[in-house]
Amino acid sequence: MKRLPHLVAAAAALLVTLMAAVAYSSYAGSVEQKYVHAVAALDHADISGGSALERTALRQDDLLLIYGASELMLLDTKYEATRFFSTYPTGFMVFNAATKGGSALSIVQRLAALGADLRGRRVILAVGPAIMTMAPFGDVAERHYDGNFSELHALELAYSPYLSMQTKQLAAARMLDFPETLKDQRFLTFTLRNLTGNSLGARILYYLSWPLGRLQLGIMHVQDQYATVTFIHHLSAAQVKVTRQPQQIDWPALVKTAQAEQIRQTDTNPYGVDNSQWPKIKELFAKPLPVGSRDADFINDVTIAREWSDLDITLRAVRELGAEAIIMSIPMNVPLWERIGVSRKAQNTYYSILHSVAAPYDLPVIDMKQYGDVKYFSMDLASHASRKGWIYVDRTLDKIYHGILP
Amino acid sequence: MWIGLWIRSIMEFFHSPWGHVLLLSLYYSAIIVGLVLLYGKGQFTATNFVYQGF
Repeated sequence: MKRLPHLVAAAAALLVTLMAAVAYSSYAGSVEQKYVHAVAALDHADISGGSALERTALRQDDLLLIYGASELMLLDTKYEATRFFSTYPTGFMVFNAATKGGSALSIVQRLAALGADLRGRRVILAVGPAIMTMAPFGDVAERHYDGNFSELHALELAYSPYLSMQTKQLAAARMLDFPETLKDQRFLTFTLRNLTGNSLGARILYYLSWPLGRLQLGIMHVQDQYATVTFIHHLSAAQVKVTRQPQQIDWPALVKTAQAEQIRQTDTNPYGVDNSQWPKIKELFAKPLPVGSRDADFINDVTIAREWSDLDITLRAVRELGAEAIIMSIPMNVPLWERIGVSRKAQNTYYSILHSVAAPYDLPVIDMKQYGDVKYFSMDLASHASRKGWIYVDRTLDKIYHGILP
Repeated sequence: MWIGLWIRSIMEFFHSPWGHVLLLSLYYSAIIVGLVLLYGKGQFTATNFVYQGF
C-alpha cells in the first residue's frame, strides 16, 4: 500500500462506485417491479430508448408484450389494447412496445437488448404490410429508423453474447445502411464496421473492443434504470393506480359500437378511410383503376421489399434468444387496394412471402387475413387499425393470452 | 486547545500511509462523482420526429 497508494485508492474508489451502482440497480429494480403495470397503461415514449421496463414487463405473467409499428400505435382510441385491457378484464394487460415508424430493424435491436431475459418468454411480433407494400424499395424510411434508434439497443446487439456472429453481422450491415443515424456514434460505427469487416484485423479489433463495449453497456444499464425511476417518480398518484376489474366481454356488441364510431369518422369519402388519413391518400382515388391493372408493379414491389430480409434477421435473433414469439400480421385492406388497381390475388403475395419468411423458424403466424375484407377494419391503405379493427386485434390478443390462439 | 489537538491528530492521520490512501480515495471518488454528474444522465427518450405515414 505504501508503494502504490494511487492504485489502491483508485481501486477503492472504483469499488465504492461499483457497490453504489449495484445498490441503486437493486433499488431501481424494486421500483420498476412495483410500477410496471401502471406504466404499461401509459405513454412511455420518454423511456422507449431503454430496456429496463421491458425487461421487468417480460417477467410479469399478466403482461403480454407487443413489438410492432404504427399499425398498432397511430389511432388514439379507447379500443387501443393498452386502454382496452387497462382494467385487466380477462386477467391480463398489454405492454405495448410498438412504436410509430417502427420496423424489423428497430425491433431486432430492441429484442437483442433484452438478451437472455427473453428466453422462454412469450412476445407478440406485430407485422404490418405497410413498409413492404408502400415504402420505396420496401425499406424503412431513414427518418423513421432514426426516430426509433437507441444507442443502448444498437450496442446491445453489437456486443450480444447470445446472438451468433452471423446474425450480428447481418444486422450490423443493415445498420450501416443508415449513416445519418450513426453520424454521432463513433464507437458504435467502429464496432459495426469491424463486425461486418471480413479481414482478420477487423475481427481482432472487434474482440479487443468487446470489454469496452460491455463496460459502456454496464454504465448505460444504470443510466437506463435512472431514467426509468425518474420517469416513474414524475407520475401522479392517479397515473400509478392500477384497477383490476374482471368482466365478460361482449365482442360482437363491441364490434357494432366501434363500427358505428368509425363510420362517423369516415364521412369525407366513400371508401371507409378515416378522415384523418384521407387527405394523405385521396389523390390515389381521383381516378379509380381497373382491378388487376397494377398487379405486376405491386407484386414486384412486395417481392423485392427489404423489410423481408430485416424480418428474417429479426426471426433469426428471436430463435437464438429463445423467445416464444408469435407473429401477428395486420391484414391488407383488400377493398381499398382493389380500388387502386391491385387484385386480391396480387395482395395475397404479401401473405405468401410472410409465411415463407417465417416458415424456417417454426414460429406460429396469425396473419388475420380473414379480416382483410371487413370494412372499416383498417383506417387507410397502410393497414393502420381503426376503432373497429382494434376490437378484432384485442380479441386476437385475448385469445393468444388465454392459449386459444395460435 | 482541544480543537488544536484534534486538528493535529487529523493531520497526522492524513500523513500516515492509511490516511494518505483514504484522502486519495476521496479524491478519486470526487472525480467519479463529478463525471457521473456531468455525463451520467444518459438519453433514452425517443428522438422527436413527425410520423408522416406512407
